[in-house]
Amino acid sequence: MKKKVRVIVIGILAVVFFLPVLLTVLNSFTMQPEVAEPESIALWKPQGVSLVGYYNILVETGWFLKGFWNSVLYAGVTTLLNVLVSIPAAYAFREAEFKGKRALYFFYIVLMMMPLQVTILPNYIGLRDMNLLNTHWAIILPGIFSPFGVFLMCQYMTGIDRSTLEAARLETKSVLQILFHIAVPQVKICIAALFLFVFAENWNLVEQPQVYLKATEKMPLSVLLALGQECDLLSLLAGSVLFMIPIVILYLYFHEHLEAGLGSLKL
Amino acid sequence: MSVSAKKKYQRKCKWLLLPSVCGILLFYCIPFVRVIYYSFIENQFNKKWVGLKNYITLFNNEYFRLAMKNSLLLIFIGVPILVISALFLSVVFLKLENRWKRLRLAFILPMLIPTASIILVWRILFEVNDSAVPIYSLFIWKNIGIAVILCSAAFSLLAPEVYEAARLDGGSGLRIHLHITLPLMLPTIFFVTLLEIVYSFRIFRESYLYYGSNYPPDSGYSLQYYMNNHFVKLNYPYLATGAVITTFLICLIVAVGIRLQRKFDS
Amino acid sequence: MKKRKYLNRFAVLFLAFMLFFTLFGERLYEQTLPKVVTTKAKEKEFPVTVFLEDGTEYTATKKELAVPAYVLEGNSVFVLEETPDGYLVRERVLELGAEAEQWFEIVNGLGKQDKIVLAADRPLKDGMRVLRVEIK
Repeated sequence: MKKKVRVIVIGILAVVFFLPVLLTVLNSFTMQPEVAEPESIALWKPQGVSLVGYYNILVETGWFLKGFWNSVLYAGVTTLLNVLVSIPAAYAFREAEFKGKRALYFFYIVLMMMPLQVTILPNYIGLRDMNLLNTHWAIILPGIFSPFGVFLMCQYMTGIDRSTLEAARLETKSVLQILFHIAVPQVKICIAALFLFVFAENWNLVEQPQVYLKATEKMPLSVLLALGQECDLLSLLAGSVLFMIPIVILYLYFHEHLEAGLGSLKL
Repeated sequence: MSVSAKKKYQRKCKWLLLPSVCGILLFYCIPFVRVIYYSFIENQFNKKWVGLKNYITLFNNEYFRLAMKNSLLLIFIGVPILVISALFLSVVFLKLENRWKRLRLAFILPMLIPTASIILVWRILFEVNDSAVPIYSLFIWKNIGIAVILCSAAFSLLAPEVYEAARLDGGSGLRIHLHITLPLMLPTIFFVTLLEIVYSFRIFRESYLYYGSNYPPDSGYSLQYYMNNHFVKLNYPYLATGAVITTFLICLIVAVGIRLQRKFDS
Repeated sequence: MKKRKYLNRFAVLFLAFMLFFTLFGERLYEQTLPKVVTTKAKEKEFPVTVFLEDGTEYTATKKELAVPAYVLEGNSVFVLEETPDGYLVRERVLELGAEAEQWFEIVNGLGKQDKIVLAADRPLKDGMRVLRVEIK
């Protein structure tokens, strides 16, 4: 295919892909009456520019900011701890040999693929028996042990140079030291990508808070914005844009790292 | 390095798995045993053992069959469309300069954008009726990014020398692609397909927010809706049965995937 | 890299923005609410004419709950309603009776403890959120 054709194709597709995001952002800046009926969102030419929606959602509603910081708490803590747990686990999957390693790996994959509905019930029962329902931990704890992080890290770990590990093994007997001083620095970039993916996943939790939490004050924004609150469309759009911003910022920080380390992908 | 030292090292390594495995046992495995137990009883109140009756009821239930059909349709139609589109896009991106390559990373933005932000606009763009188009398009829109990135990464690893050699041997463009590119890309294609099957289950979240209710139109009614509704009604035995059946389905898919990949590895 | 610098600035700005509204949003909001001063209904003496058995009229007074004329808009007043988030005003239609010295007897519609809006800094509507101000 000629180069120009390729560029045009990509250009058109990019526009199509960005359209929903673009519309949300553009329409969040319009004035109240135009957005009263969902159908009348000016798809191509927003009428009038105003920050009314933003003012509404930030100042007049109490739940938005509370939900925002809840989301920050959940996503931040869960992602950090998940990464902390997943890195050693992935390293172990790569380096250790023990009976049943294949079976365990298979198990992790199956668990990762489970639709939420299957895992929510066991989680709910477990949390209920531990008396953790309706607390912040109800969201954070299951998220820490999500196998997606381990799996992704495993893929990235295949990119580590064997020889450096061999050399390190001659130097020290402590596995932890090898892990932290040799393995981790090599995959630092991949850890950033992992952080981005897990954060995006946790920033967007919808089913879990609805099932494990009852109090609206503990609800993250991902639920409140979509289902919880009666609010006019314009303010919801403004809230959606504000909700998008943190994840877009993280993406802009880490996007070069996404491709790094994606070598041969094996199951 | 001596064999025994290596073995010792390997034994030590496995302890690194401890926190992860502990958590999974605690939050997923042990409760899952309870779930299996629930699937064999009639009612969580009288706890009467009914064996496989729940499973038989489920398979005869038309809603379960509808849900199963929709979920499988998405897997067998939606995922191939997505993977092929992703491959096509990767090829289009292949020989562009780096400046345009940046745009490729931007395709992953839909996956990162939280669902709540997009649903409003999606509902306006697509009328909420009985067609499967909004959900399929949402699925493709959201998940094509990561597939494109993975395929592109794999493409960039294909050694150019192989192509040189093939061209010298006198093959046309298409034949080269069929006989060389495709087999080389197969592992990646498998991986991407499997990943997208995972994501096809996750589309429930978007579908739920899009339809805004527990009872979507027929074409949107997937397995997760079925289980969710039972969960809402606190109908644990049926929910548990559905969960166990879904687990079986997934184990099957993963096992087939792994076996196929091992076979093509050689 | 230049881009990084802008990104950092934007991220910090956004965070500060959200923090600002979290900490000062309430105060900002209160600035924009209508301010009202409230009072309560008082008991006033109203003349009552009683007809005795022998046909003579007897004028006495009785104490009834009354509102001053200046809180009335037609037949209705605004009553303060307390919610967990603050105060609302609700328009209530009253049944009025006799009048004495610019105070109207309340036949129906108001209780002794109801807070009535005495004055507000802008026209009110039913269901509006307001800020209650006390006069010292």
